[in-house]
Amino acid sequence: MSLFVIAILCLIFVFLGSAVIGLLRGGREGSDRMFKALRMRIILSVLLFAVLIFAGFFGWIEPNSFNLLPTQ
Amino acid sequence: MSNEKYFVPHGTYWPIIGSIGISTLFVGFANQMHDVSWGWPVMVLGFAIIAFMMFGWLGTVVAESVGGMYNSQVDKSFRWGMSWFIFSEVMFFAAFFGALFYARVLSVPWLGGADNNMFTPELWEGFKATWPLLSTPGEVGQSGVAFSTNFKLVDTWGLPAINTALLLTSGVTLTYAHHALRAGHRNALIAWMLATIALGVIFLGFQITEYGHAYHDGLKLTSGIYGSTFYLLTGFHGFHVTVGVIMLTVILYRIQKGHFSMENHFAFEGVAWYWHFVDVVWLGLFIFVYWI
Amino acid sequence: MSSTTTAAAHDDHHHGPEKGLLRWVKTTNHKDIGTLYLWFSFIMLLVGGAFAMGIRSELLQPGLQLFEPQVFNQLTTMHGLIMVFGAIMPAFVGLANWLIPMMVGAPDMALPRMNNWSFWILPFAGAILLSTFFMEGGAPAFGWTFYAPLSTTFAPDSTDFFIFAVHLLGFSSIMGAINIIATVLNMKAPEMRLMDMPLFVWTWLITSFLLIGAMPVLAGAVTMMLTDRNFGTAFFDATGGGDPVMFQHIFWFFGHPEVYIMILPAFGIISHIIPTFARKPLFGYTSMVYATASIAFLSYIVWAHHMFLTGMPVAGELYFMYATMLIAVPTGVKVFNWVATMWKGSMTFETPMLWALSFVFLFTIGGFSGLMLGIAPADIQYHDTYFVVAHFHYVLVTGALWGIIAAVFYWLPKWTGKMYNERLAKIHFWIATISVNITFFPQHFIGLAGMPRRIPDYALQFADFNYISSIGSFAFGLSFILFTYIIVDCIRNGKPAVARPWESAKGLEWTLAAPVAYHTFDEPPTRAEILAESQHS
Repeated sequence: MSLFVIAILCLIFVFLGSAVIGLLRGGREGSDRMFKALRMRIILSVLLFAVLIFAGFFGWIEPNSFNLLPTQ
Repeated sequence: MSNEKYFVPHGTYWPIIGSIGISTLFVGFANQMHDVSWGWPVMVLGFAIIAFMMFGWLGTVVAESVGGMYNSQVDKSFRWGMSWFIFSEVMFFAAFFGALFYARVLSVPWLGGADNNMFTPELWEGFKATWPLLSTPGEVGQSGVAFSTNFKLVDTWGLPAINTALLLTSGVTLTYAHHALRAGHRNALIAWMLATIALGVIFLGFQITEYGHAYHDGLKLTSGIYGSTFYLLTGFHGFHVTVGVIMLTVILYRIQKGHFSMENHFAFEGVAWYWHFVDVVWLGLFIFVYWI
Repeated sequence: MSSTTTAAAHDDHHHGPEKGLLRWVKTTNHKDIGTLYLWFSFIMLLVGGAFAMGIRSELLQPGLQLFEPQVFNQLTTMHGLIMVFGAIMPAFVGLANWLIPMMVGAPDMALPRMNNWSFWILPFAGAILLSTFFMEGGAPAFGWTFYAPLSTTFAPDSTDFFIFAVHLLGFSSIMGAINIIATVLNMKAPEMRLMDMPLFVWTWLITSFLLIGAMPVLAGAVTMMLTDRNFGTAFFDATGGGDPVMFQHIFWFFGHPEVYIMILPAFGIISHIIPTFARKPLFGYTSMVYATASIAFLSYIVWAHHMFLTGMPVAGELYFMYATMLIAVPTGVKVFNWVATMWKGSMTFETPMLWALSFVFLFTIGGFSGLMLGIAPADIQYHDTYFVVAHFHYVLVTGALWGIIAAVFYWLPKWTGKMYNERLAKIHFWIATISVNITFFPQHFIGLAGMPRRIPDYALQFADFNYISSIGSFAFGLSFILFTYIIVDCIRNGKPAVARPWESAKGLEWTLAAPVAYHTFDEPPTRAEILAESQHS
């Protein structure tokens, strides 16, 4: 579950990066690319937040449960 | 009106004013930290000089832009500049996220005796490596600061979740504003921009409230590595939200003045991207600081 | 804004520089700003050099001679900081300012006001940094790498001023780098393709990416230092759950790209000079570009080879060792390309070529000692000894600084329109090259024998080599008086230079009159002109 969350976060970053390229290109085309990438990123973000809320509500993940620490 | 030649401005005082301002700010800040009485006023003075410089410099640029002195190549230079400035911001946050991951994944487990560190538990008896690190290995830091331990964690489902919802909503409203600008719906654009700014301000208010609660419950800057990463990550994020709100307000003002067209609105795009970036950084914070 | 103002601003383009001192404060002209950068870095070089003279005087003989250990440490720290951030980096940005617009056929830098700011932050940063000498507790004394906890728990109050100076220097570098990227990619002549660009432009473009990636991380590191020092955070304090080794990771994530920031532009300069004086096109232009890019990429993933003795997991040590070794491949490509360019060329040995040849030879020595240091098990012996000092002075003095001096002699006729005194310049070259080797070569030996760096006193068995090293360094230091004289003499009394003083020099900058006009390339060069001035065809 945690890995899924991180994967979506990475995907959001990819769209954010794509938006910068649109910003850089400029013009009609760049503007389109930027707008679409930003729209995708906000849709994904809202989805991710919804997933987190649901997962928390149904107890699929607990806050601060992802632990790499050794058991002592 | 557009120029064929690349616009090279002629002589400017703003940079030197900026240098004086930022040096004044830093010298004041350093003296303030050393309990020198004139630290604060000098800091404020430096801040005022920087604000003056920003208004003057950006005002000149806006006037030149509206005056049609920039051709498409100048526009492109600004786009390159903004994109790489953004990249430098990403790397700045990466340093703090890197510190957080290093502490969580490597150094805190090592302090607890993981890997080949079987002697470290001998150094700090009774220390338990957990995350969030509620108790520090020592009670007093090397610099003599008494660590504030056994604090109450911020409840993930309280203000942080509400703040996430607020900021994400502001991302949605900004996207609608962006759409309205591209479609030429002026009134809708202004309304969505107002909503975005309002959400940003409410976010900042809640963040300050949350800091108050956290401090009251013992989570302070002096709460060891957890408090350090918590406050510096959220603090720098809050600073960027503040800057973002100011920039959005300026953009709203420029929209009122009719500076942007459906085709050409680079300043809006730059600020919009910045806001989305700040939003994603928050999502990262929510997941890595409050959640996972 | 009314159209009259526009017209007035437009007319200004074709005027010369303003009169008086304010010209230098207000200027947005890339040539003016380049000059400012170069003079600033030269002054900083002399200041940093003076500290080095202090260090070598103390080390002339064993025992404490001139300085308290604390003062000695302040000198080594400030020598390193001033040389890296005050001399070498600004000098390269100055060269970029002067040369890149001319080399790509652009009227100026892309963002001229910001260009002015990235210079005018520097004197303030330098002043804040140097003012720490006069503060209570003295200047920072923890070495230029400012490792925690030396720089957090055990440092004087002046460290906070040092932190802010580093912030300012970082702002300056980031703005400079953004400007260079925008200039190269947006301002180059429309007819110039990427693979037409001269190598100095290529290497600086790649260096800019390194700067933008690395400098913000340094800003993050010093910010954490600041809060650890003043606000009770525990990033680098194990008692609070932090880790001093974390500082080293963050620092070297900046620090390793930083060393390539200081050498890649020099690679570019040498790639201009050697073809000119060998009278042959540059061998392997494309491979030079790719080698530069590979070095830049690798520089981000090898940082922990500075930290082999921190108790890293063995898997980490192995990874960082092998990754470090990989850098030798693209660097080797470059060195062999330079040698192949000279192969069967009709070589002459004017001053810039002497410096370039000396660079190839001596930088390679520094590169090899770097490979030795990159071997994790061997590094246990070399770590923090004078061997390290010898290594990085071979790559930074006879590498980076040699590149800068070579560039100064190569392009001075273009900048000033006058020729320097060739005979004196050659004498200066030989004094500098011989004395720099006398200074730094023996440091390999005392390092291997175990003399640690950053100490004011040493065991008797190191006395002879230290004596030789100090004598060499005094000669090297004095040689800069001659250098100053040559430059000033050139500016004041030099004979007029022709537009292309080196007969087979290629590059768009040589098509411009000497001295070069205040504003150049109002009209971008054509494809034919670009190809005629290409280094590699």
